[in-house]
Amino acid sequence: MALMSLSTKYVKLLVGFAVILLVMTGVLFLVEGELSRPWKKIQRQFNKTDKKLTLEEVKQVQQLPDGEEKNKKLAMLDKRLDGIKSRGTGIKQLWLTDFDITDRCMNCHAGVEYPRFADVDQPLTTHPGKHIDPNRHGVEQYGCVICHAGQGVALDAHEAHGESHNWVEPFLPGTRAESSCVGCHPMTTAVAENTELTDASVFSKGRTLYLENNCLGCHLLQDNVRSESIGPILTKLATKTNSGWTRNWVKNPKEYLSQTVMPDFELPDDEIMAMTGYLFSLSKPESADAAARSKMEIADLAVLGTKKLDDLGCLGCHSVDGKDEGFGPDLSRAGEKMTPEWLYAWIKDPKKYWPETAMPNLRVPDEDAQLLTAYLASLAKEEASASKLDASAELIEKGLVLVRDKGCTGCHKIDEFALGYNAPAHDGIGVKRVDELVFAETDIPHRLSDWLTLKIKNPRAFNTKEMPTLMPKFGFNDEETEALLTFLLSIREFDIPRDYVKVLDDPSTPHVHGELIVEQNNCRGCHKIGDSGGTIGPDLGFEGERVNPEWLVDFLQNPDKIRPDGIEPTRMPTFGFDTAQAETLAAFFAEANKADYPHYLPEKKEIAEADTEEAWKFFWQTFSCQSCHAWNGEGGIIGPDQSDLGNRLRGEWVAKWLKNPQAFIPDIQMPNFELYPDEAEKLSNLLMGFADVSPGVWHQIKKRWEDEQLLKQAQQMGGN
Amino acid sequence: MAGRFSDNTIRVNLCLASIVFVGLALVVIATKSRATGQDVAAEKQAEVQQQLPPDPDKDREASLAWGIELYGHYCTPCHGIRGDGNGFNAHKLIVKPANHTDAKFMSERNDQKLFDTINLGGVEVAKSTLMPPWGAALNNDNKIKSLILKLRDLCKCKATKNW
Repeated sequence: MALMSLSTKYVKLLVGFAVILLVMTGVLFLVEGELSRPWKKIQRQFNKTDKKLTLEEVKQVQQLPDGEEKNKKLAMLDKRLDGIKSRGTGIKQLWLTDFDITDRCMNCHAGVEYPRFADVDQPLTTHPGKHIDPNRHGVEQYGCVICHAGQGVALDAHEAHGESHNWVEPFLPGTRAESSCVGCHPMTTAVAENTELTDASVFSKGRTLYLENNCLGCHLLQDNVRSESIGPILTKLATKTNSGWTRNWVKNPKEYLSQTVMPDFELPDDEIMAMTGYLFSLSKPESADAAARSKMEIADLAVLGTKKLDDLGCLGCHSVDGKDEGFGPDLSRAGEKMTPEWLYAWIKDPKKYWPETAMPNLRVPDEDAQLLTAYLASLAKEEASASKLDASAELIEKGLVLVRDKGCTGCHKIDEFALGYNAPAHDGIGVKRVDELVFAETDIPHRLSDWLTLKIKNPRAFNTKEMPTLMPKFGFNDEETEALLTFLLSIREFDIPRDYVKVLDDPSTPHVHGELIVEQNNCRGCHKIGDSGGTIGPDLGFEGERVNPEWLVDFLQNPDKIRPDGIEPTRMPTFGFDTAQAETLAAFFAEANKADYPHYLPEKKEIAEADTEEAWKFFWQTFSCQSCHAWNGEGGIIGPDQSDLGNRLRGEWVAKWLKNPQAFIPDIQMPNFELYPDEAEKLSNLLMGFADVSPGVWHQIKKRWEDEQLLKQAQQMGGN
Repeated sequence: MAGRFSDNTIRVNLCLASIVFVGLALVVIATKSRATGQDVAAEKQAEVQQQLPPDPDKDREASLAWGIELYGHYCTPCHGIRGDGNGFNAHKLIVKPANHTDAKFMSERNDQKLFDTINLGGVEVAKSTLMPPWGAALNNDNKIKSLILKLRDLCKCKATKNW
C-alpha cells in the first residue's frame, strides 16, 4: 500500500513535471514564432539600417564649417537617433475609409518615404520618382494598395503580393502601378495619342502604341472612339493598284513599308489569292488617262519631281528615302503600287477616293500634279508583277468569306462590310479572371500578366483547334510589350470616390482638344508648334499673339497664300476643318501664348493727325516699306500685302514685330529698322487701320517722295 | 550635444582621416569640373562659330560660301538670282535695284562703301531708301563682309577709286 502510494505519488509528480515541460516548450515555441515573424525581422533590419545611415549623415555634417546651420542639422539628426532608439517594432496599418482599403504594406516597406534609403535593397528601398510626394499622393493619405493593388491586409510577402491562388486583383509591381493612374486621371481617345500622362511614361507609351496600332479597330472599348483613317478603303482597289502588289503586301506588309501598322496575318498563299480575287472583283481598272501620263517622258523628271515634292511640302508627311518614318507612307516605291491615273486623281483631291483620309487637299495645279504623278510613277525598285489573277466565281466567293472573317474590317472599309469589331471587347481586361483565360499548351505561370505578355508578343500562342486565333502578329519588342501590358492592365473598373477624380488632360479645354486636332492632321509635319515641329511652314510658336483669331478661323477653313510664290512656293493645304475645329485651333494657339480669346479689335483709336502723317512718312519715306509690301496694290511683292493687315494681325504684336522681327524669326527677310517704341506704335496704328487715313495726305507724301527719288536718280545720271 | 560624438578618440581619428579624404576628393572634383567647364565653353564657342561666318581674311572660301547663301536669301528678291538687278520684285520699284554684275559701277565703290550701304541702307550713302539697312537684322559684321565677297565675285572687279 505504502509502496503503491509512493509510486502513485511519483507518477503524479512525473506527469506534473511532463505537463509543465510541455507547456513551457509550447510557450517557447509561441514566443519564438512571434519574435521571428517576417515583418518583425524586417522592421528590426529597418531600425538597424536607419541608425547606420543616420550616423553616416552625422559624420558628413560634422565636416561642415561651424555655424548655425551645422548645429541645426546635428540637432535634427540627434532627434532622429532618439526616435530610432525608441521605435521598436509593431504592426502599423492605414484604414482608407473613402476607399474601404486596409493597408499594411509599410510594415515591411518602411523606407519608401525616406530618400536616404535609395540604395538599400527591397523591401526597405525608397519609392522611385515623385509619385508619393506628400503634396501629391502622400503615403499617409493614399497608402500603397490604391496604385499597386494586392492584398493590403496581409503581412506576408507571398500573400500581400497576391501570388496565392484565386486572388482577382493581382499585385502591380514597379511601373505596372502606372496602370492605376487612370482611375483618378482618366484619359480617353479624346486626348491626343502622344500625350504623356504626368510621371507615367510606361503607361503613356503603351497607350500610344495601343492607339497607333489601332487595337480599337477590332477590340471594342467603352468611351473610346476608333479612328477611321488608319486603313484605306478597299472598295476601289482595282483603280489604284495591281493584284500582284496586293498579294505581296498582304503576305508581308513590312517588306514594302518598314513602319506600317498593317500587321502580319500569317495567311497561306491560297487564301491571299482568294481575298485578292474578291477585292479586285469589286471594281474595274480605269482606262489610261492621257492627262495623268502626259509628263512621263520629260527630261530631268527626277530633278524636277524632287523639287516639286519639296516645294509643295509633301515631305512634311512623306519620305522618299525608304526610311518610312513620316506620318504618311514612304513614297520611294510608289510606282510599284499605284497607277498613274489613280495618283493623279489622288493628288488633285485625296478625299474623293477616301473621304476619311488624313491627307489634305494641296490645291495642286494640273501641271504640277502631272509632273508629280509622272515622278512618283517612276519610283520603283521592282517591276510591277503582272501575274494573272484567277477570277472564278468560286474563288471570289471564298475570298468574300475570308475578307469578312479574317479581321480586315477592323481597319478597312470594304463595300458591303462596314468597320466591324472582330475580337473580344477590352473592357475589364485589366482584371480578367485567370479561369477565363485559355493557356492551351503553354507552360507559363497561370497569371494574367504572364498571359497578356505572351499574347502581345506572340498572339497565336494560345491557338487551339477549338478556338483558332485571328489576331495578327504585330512584332512588339520587350519594352513595347511591357508598355502595352501596363496599358491593358489599366482597363478596369475603378471604384474611386468622386472627390479623388482629377482629370489632368481635359478634352474640353482648347490645349487638349487642339492638340488632338494638331496630331490627327500632323500640323507638326510642317510647322513648329511648342517644342517640336517641321520648318516647311512658319513657326507657330507665337501664332496666338500674332493673329486675330477671327482671321485664323477663316484661314484654316479657306487657306490662301499670304506671301507670293517667289518667296514661298509652299501652300498651306486645305484640311477641310469645320468651324468648330477651326475655332478650337484658334483658341489652342491663343491659349499657348496667353493671348486673349475671343479677341476684340479696339474701336478706332483717337490718333492725332500729325501722328498719322508721320507714320505715312515712315511707311513711304524713311523705311520705304513699299519696297517689299504692297498697299492698295502699289508696292513690292516680297512680304505680305499690308492692306488687309488690320484683319489678320493683332496691333500689339505688329508693334513688337516692327521693333525686332528677328526676335521672332531669326532669318526673316525683313530688315530690323531699330525703331523707337513710339515710332513702332505710330506705324502699327496706321497699318492696323486704327487711324483714319485721308487719301489726300498719303498721295501727297507718296508724290513728294517719288519726285525726290527720281530727282536723285537724275542727278546721279547727270553726274556720271 | 558635443560630448556625444567627440569623446571617442577612434572616432576623432576617423573624422580627421575622412576630412583629409574628402578634401582630396574635393580637389580632384574641382580640377575635373574646371576642366569639363572649359571643354563645354570651348565646344559652345565652336558651335556658335559654325553658325556664323568666319573673317574673310582668315578663310576666304568659307566666307564666300556664306556670302552666296546670304545673298540668295536676302538680296535676290530685288537684285535677282544673277545679281543683275532684275529680281522678281524689281519691277515693283520706282528705282531700279543696282546691277551687281556691272564691273564699272561696282569698281567705283570700295569695300567700305559697300559695307556702309548694306549695314546702314541706301539713304546713308545718298542713295534710295528702297535699299533698307540690313545691319541690325544680320547682326554680324562677318556676314556683311561675306556679302561683299559675293558682290566682288559677281562683278569680277576690284574697287578702283577710294572714297
